[in-house]
Amino acid sequence: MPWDFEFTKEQEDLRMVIREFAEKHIAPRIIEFEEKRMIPNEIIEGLAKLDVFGVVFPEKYGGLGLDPITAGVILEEIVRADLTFSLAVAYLVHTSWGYIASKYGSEKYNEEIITKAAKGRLWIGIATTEPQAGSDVAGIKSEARKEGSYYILNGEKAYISGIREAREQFPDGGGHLTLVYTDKTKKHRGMTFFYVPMRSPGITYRLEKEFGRKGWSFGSFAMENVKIPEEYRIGEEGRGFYIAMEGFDHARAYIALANAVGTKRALEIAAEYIKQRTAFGQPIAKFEGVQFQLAQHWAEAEAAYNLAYKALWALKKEMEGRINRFEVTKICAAAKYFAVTTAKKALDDAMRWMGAYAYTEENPVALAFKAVKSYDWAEGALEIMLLIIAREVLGREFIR
Amino acid sequence: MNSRDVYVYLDVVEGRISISSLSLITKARELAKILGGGVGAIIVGRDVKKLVKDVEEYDIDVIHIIDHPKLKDHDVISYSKAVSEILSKTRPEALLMISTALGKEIASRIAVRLRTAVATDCIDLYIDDYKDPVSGEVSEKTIHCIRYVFRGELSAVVASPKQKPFIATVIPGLYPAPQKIFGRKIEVKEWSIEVSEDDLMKTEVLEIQKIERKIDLSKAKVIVSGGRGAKAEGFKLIQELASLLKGEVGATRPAVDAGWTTPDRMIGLTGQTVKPDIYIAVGISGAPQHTIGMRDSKIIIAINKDPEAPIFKISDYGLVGDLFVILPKIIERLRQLKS
Amino acid sequence: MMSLNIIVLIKSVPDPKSPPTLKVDGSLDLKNVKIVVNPIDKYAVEAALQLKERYGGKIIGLSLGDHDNIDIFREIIAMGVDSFIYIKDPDYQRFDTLQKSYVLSRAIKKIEKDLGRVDLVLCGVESSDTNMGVLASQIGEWLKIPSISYVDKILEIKNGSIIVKKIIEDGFMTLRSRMPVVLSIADTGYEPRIPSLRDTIMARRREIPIWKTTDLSLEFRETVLKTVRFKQIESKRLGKIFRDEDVDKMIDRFFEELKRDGVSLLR
Repeated sequence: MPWDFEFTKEQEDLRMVIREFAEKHIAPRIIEFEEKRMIPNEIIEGLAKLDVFGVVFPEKYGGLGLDPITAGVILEEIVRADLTFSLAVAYLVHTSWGYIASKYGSEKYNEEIITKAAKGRLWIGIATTEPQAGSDVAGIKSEARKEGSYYILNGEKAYISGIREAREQFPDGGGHLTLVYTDKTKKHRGMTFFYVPMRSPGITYRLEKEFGRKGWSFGSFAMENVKIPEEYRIGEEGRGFYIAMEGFDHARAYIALANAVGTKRALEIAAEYIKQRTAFGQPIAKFEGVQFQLAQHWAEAEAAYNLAYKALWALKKEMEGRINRFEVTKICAAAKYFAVTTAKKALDDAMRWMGAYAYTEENPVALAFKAVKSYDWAEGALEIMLLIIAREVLGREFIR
Repeated sequence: MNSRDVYVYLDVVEGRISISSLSLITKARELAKILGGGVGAIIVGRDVKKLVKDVEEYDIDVIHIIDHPKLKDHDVISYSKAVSEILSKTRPEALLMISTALGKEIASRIAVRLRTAVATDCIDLYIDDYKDPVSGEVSEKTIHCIRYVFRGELSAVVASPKQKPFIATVIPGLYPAPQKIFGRKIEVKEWSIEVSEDDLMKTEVLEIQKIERKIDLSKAKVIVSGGRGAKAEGFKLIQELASLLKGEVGATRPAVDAGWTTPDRMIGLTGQTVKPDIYIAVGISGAPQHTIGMRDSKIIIAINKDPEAPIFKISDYGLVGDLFVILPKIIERLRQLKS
Repeated sequence: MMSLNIIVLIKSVPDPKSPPTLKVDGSLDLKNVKIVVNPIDKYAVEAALQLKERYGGKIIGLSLGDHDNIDIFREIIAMGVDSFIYIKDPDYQRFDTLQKSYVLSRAIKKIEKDLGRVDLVLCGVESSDTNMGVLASQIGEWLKIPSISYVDKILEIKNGSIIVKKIIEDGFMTLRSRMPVVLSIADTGYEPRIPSLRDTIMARRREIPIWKTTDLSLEFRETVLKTVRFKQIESKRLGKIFRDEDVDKMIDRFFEELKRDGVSLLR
């Protein structure tokens, strides 16, 4: 791999489009996202108009057909402006799971749903976790049975992002890629993925008051005899688990980048602050103890940033058929693990340097601190990341 | 045939010669003395002959006048034709005009007609020799003009060593009102021109909306001004501080557009120009469109939470921080001092 | 349907966010300067795009310069102009407004010959580098057509006339003018659109023809206004900036300084 750490001219052009929009329309309003627990519709519409919701979707269905690295550049600019991570979640979940839906979904599904998703008229989320099963995916209980050309779904999904948005905020609604058992006897090979529109009859939901990243909703939904057409089955019966694992890799790579960029930005903000805040007659920035911490976090954030882009690169290679699945999973797990642990430590210290000034609902560093805690578990617990890496490095037989 | 005279364009506004264009006479005389030439005035328009008597007593040597029924409403095409006629026959060293929007348009067109140089918004003019960097040729006693470039970051010195007249539009308010000189005979030359249909812009004025200037900020000695950072709540504090200091409230365009105060308090390119003793800029970044309206204030104090805000570069005193914390404390401190 | 032919003049300038520094001899250090589209010209582009949306037609971007970075014009194409032409002249840095407006007017004439008709020429009120504000008037004079500067908004086009709202010293003036006319557009009435990602990608693939001034049969080639030198603005301001997280302490020091300098806020 001839190393070139520069982005292409086209990527930089696309970056500047998002940066201009973000500086003008997103950055000034992020406190509002937290306070109102909502992204203003104008921002969603503005981003949709810029084609932000169709970045990786096939051109055939109205997307831009771009690669994950380019999608990452766009995510960078969104995170830089919104340290609450709400818009980052809106973008990365839709981008990663929407891509998976398009890849494994039927032609009819793509024509009907992906075309709308690409235009930002519809939002795609993910629902695997249940009240009793998170990391232990095999422990889910939701199930689907076939009836003619439909599947009937029953079950409950918990800790799901974007239920409210998929129901109310997008003109054509939205839905979640939902993992259920179609054949319990086959265990992992008996799971199937379905696109479940959140406006479907039979869906009831409740929202939680999440601790951080308040601009994008968080809650649970129950399915009672929800009728899903077979065109909305994503991939073959029995392939759900594997498709979900692939989707997690995409999400984790973007999450890694979001955490790395968020860390870098937060360190910038904290650095500016400590240059002017004084203690004992000197700017806090002059104390070596603080300098050393800042330097360590900077180095780690830089490493996380590069590892995140390597994970996105790995996904791109996979799209080109030039890397094996396990290699991709390993890098994506490592990227997520490293970026999130780096972010948590750095944001914790950054908040401490900023002292009482950071202890408000209006300080972006504090908002980022709250947001990144969700990545201890979202789209894969950190411990699971470590198990994945160990498994890939040592071999399956060593994992209990 | 180039003369070493310096001409002044006397603007006719609402039937009278504008005071700011009269002030150019002082500068013209100063330059003409060094050049060894005289001072001429140009008046063009409709029904302007009667204005000659208003101008006769100023330090001018000749008045060139074109009075034509078709010259009205500052139609820049016909006006520039008229002035160009006079200049092409007289070929003075330079023509000074006041930098009004219309003045610049007329000056620009004259420059094209006469294939000569125009420099707009000059902040000063002086005479010096000009040496061509390539040929080494020296043009003695050339008029140089200083003007801001890069939105006020730098100034440039420009000159027109070969082509005359040099058309310079000058920022109003730089020079004092001209002295009156009594008992002199000034030559008045009347010129005539053809004004055909092609010589007219033929724009029709459909409506004029004047901003009701209930407040004349140019008289205020203290102005406390709010910008984008102030928001509606900030303006309450600004009003409080202004009242305490017996001053007026001013605003930038964004603050007016957001509805936090009335348009007649707008200061800047499309608002009023002020020169108070004390100007306090609250939550104002310092964009050129605003600073152009207040940069000549005696003392400028800025309050802004962004240490990199351009306003600090043109301030005498600056306070970096949250205006919602700073202003109340300043108000409290001033109240204590008062009692 | 009307169908307007609109030319928008675009100037390349040093990025206003980082103006060039001065060399010892008073000339500009243009070596590492980033070139961008004159920000206020984008308002003219937006005005043209809205006219095209309303009345139909064609928009041609036109620029004169000496640099090689034609990629900066792709943003204008991405915004929606139909085509873009760049005229390159190695002597450009020496040109004064008279020469620039002359060259551009000859190019406009050439485009007019190709299209059959040009209805409007738009530009920004002034450039962020020279701040002269004379381009619209001078082009109007070279082409012998009317010009209106400081247009806030174009209101309507009807029966070969255009109605605009213009900024004047104390407010606004609504004018009707015949066409063709040159308009300089201010930054008050429009919000330049941000091009979509798709349009940005498409714009990368578009060709931008580069004309040489020798293609334009130019007769007048003199530069009459000479720039002698540039100067740093000597700040006559005291520049006493106070900064402290402890606001009370900061205000104390501020008032002390005012007292020391003999400045009294209360009268």
